[in-house]
Amino acid sequence: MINASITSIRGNSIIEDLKRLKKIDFTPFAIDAKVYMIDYIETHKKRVDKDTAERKPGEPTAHLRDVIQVEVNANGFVGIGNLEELETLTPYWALINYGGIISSGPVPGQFNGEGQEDAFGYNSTVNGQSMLMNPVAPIEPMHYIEATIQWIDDNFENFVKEATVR
Amino acid sequence: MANGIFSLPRNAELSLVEYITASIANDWTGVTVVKDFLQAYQVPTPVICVRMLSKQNVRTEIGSQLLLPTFTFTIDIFANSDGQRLDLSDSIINYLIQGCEYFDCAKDPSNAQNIIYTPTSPVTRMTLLKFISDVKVLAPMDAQLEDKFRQCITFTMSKYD
Repeated sequence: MINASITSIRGNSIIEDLKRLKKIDFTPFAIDAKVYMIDYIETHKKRVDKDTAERKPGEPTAHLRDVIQVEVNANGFVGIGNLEELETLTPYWALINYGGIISSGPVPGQFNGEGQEDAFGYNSTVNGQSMLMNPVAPIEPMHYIEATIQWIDDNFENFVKEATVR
Repeated sequence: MANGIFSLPRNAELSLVEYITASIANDWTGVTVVKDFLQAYQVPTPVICVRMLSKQNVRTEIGSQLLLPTFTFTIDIFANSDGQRLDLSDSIINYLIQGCEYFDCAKDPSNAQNIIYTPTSPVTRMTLLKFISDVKVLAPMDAQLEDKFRQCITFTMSKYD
């Protein structure tokens, strides 16, 4: 469902008329917005990546960069990120965007101090014993959705202008 | 920091925090306003957290050396109930629509914990440009109270001399 996107690119009625007349394809713009969103996430993340395939059982979730997709429905509405897929594959998407307290309990993570680096690059073992991190401080928000909406606002007009000139 | 006065973005953030604090104090009781996200978890709800996310510098016109400073702010509401979340967000939207005064801010030399707010001459205002989002923050079923009834309002404001 396109209505479940976390960001949607919707022109107003004028743009809709323009779209019908000029047959603007908003997909390239949406792809650029998706690339911006993923770049924003990648450059603002604070933890080292762990390969999804190497995750142990019980460690859910994929990477946001792999799950965020561009969708185009029959009416030409374009959206980025499908909520249902995000909820299933990367349920932490809202926590990363809006911040908050982790309610799932202990999670694998990086430690400072005596931890020894494991095969995944985490120093989450002490004397060979795997340790989990129990975050008590809130996660600070990244606001990658708002940053992307801002990017869309800043670039939408130029895209439409260029598309109508073509 | 010239003559002890903070930079323009810092002044803009402090001016907005001051405006929201005063407006909330006028209309509500028991609501705390903070300007640091982690600080919001250290005081009892309801809490309002006002922060600047980013700033953009746009030329006032092509070739001009003058910039029109534009700031993106976010206001997080940590409410005690869903109804309070909606009421607080509605109040804040009404405050923002009116814009706020921009102050030159500096630390109080006699008490570094205090901020001195000095009106500019002539008076400068910050005006709401647009709302980027005004959404309920989805929280997991077992979320703690702080995260249970949250609203996030993101918007841009500009400072006009």
